[in-house]
Amino acid sequence: MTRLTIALTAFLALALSIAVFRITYQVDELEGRLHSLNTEILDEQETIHILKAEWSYLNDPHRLEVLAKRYLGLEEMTGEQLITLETLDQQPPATVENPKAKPVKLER
Amino acid sequence: MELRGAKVKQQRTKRAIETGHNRTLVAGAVFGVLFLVLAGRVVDLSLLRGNQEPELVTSPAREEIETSRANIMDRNGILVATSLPTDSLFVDSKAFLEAGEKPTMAARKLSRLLPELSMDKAVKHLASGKRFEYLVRNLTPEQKYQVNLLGIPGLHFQREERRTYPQGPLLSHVLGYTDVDGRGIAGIEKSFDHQLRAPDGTLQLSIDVRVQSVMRQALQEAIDEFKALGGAGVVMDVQTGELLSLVSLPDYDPNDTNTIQGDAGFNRATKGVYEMGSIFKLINTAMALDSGVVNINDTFDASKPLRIGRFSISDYHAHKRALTVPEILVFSSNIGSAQIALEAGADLQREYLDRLGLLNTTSVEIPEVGAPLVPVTWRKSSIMTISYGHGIAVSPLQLDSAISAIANGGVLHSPTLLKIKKGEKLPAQRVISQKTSEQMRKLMRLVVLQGSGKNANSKYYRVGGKTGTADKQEGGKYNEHTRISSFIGVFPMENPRYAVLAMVDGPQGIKRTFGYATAGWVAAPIVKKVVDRIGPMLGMSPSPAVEEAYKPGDPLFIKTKG
Repeated sequence: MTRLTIALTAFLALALSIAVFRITYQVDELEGRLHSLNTEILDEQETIHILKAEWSYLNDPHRLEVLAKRYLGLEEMTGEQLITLETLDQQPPATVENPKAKPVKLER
Repeated sequence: MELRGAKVKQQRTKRAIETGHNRTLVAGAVFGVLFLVLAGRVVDLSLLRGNQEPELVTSPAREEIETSRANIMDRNGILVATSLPTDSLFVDSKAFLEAGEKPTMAARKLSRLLPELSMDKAVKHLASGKRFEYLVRNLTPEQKYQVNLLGIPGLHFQREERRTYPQGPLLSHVLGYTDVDGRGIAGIEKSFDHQLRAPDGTLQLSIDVRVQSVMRQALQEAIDEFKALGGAGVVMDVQTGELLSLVSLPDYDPNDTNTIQGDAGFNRATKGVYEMGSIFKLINTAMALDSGVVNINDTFDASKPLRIGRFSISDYHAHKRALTVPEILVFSSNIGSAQIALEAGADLQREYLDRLGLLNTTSVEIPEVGAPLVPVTWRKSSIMTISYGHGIAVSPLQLDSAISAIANGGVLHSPTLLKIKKGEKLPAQRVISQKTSEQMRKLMRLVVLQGSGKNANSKYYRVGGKTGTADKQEGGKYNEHTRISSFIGVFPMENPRYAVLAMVDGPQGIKRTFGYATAGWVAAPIVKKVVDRIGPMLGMSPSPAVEEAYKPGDPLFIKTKG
């Protein structure tokens, strides 16, 4: 009986200490990963910060205007391109390519 | 003897057992107490404080990185100023020399990579023996990589921040700039230096970069075409006083303070004060109508020049007949305006100018603000010349906010560069009555339809305004060949939203304009261009196409010819 108890205790002590060591090492490893992830996040945030500045630089209205004119064939918007819902059906029909085609009646 | 010996032995054993007993008891008690504490702690942790465990994970809580200086954004949240991390190169000269390096060799390698570093300076710093000496500040990542490749001992990098303005010169006069250590030197950077240094001190401006870009471009084109010295442009929300655009040309690139040369650092829109010419006739007319000194049907004789002392006041476009109040404004008659002003008198004139904020320095959130120049003694000649914008010099910004007040229903807002949050209460002062403001709007529209402001007539939005051409004073004399041409336009006239002012300093006449460099030729087209472009941008639907013309008999009916 006594022998059995001693053997069991010794076994338990050994098993627990192994488990504790394993957990300690796991925690250490996880903490290391956490630290590196946090550093990474900070790095990414810094990159985002710089990219935001670059985004703003690339979106300079004058630059966009020049690019849109050169590559997209877009022109400056004029007041006649804005209409309200009330005046929608009073608009002259857009240039009709096929003269036989009837202008589409817009339903409100 | 033997018996005594046995007894002593027995006693000794008994004492030993007792001592052992006591010791066991004490040890047991101590352990018992400790185990109780542990048990208590376990109960405490598991049952009582189970969900209040401290958070073990610490992670960066904020989305944005911490910078020593906060961002500045425009009204739509576009970044206009930010601090970017950079590296500055410094040398630990002691370590450098101890490593047995030759300063001249290293200096040659470095100055080849870094053009801003001269050979002499590099050698001096490398051989100084000091532990810390800046070589070059704010390197590009590429330069940093190249310097690291050289592998020179004793060279280190220090992380720093550099203020960056992504739009370059677009907002230079508004934002100002900072010195190399990140202290605000001019503009918003200076006036909000304290707030920008505080954590979370992000500023949101009232400026719209798109409107700013349109205004700057239109102004620049006019300056180039008419070979002018410079110009200023202001776009203001007449209902709130928010400035959507504030341009002064020439400007500079705040990213590179070496570009601040000549008058590039001078803010013509807020710091410069100018005699703005005939735009003041709007103020003169508003004053006369609001105070009831004249009424809209009154006529004034403009057939011959007015004489006052050595001077005479004449009209640029002489009509040689009696003119009504609307005609005086539409034909921009100096003679008529001077007579209206004389009716009103000095006190009334001064009171209205004061109410419109033209006698005091404007309050706006940048330090570069000019004080207006007003006559010390208000003589009869002052009254007359001020009526058409001479003898008083104000900043374009100041004038824009005064005219906004005349057009918006008579309420003066102080101009602001910061975005006003929805529902925020605005300090405002009533300066003229609603009725006068309504009359003024009609008159301003007439100037554009029939008067000198025809070139500002937009196809889509009803613009009302006034031209102003003033000869500049040089050494106490007016010089006909250097002038200030300006135009103020408010649109849309049926429900004013924005006041647009364009001022060109020193335009020269060109062939296209038949040698004219007056406001109608120079400044009015700028305002038209700006209105046409920012109207759709700001989501404004065009004004109704049909506009009622005034019939003969209406005081606002004006026969242009004859």
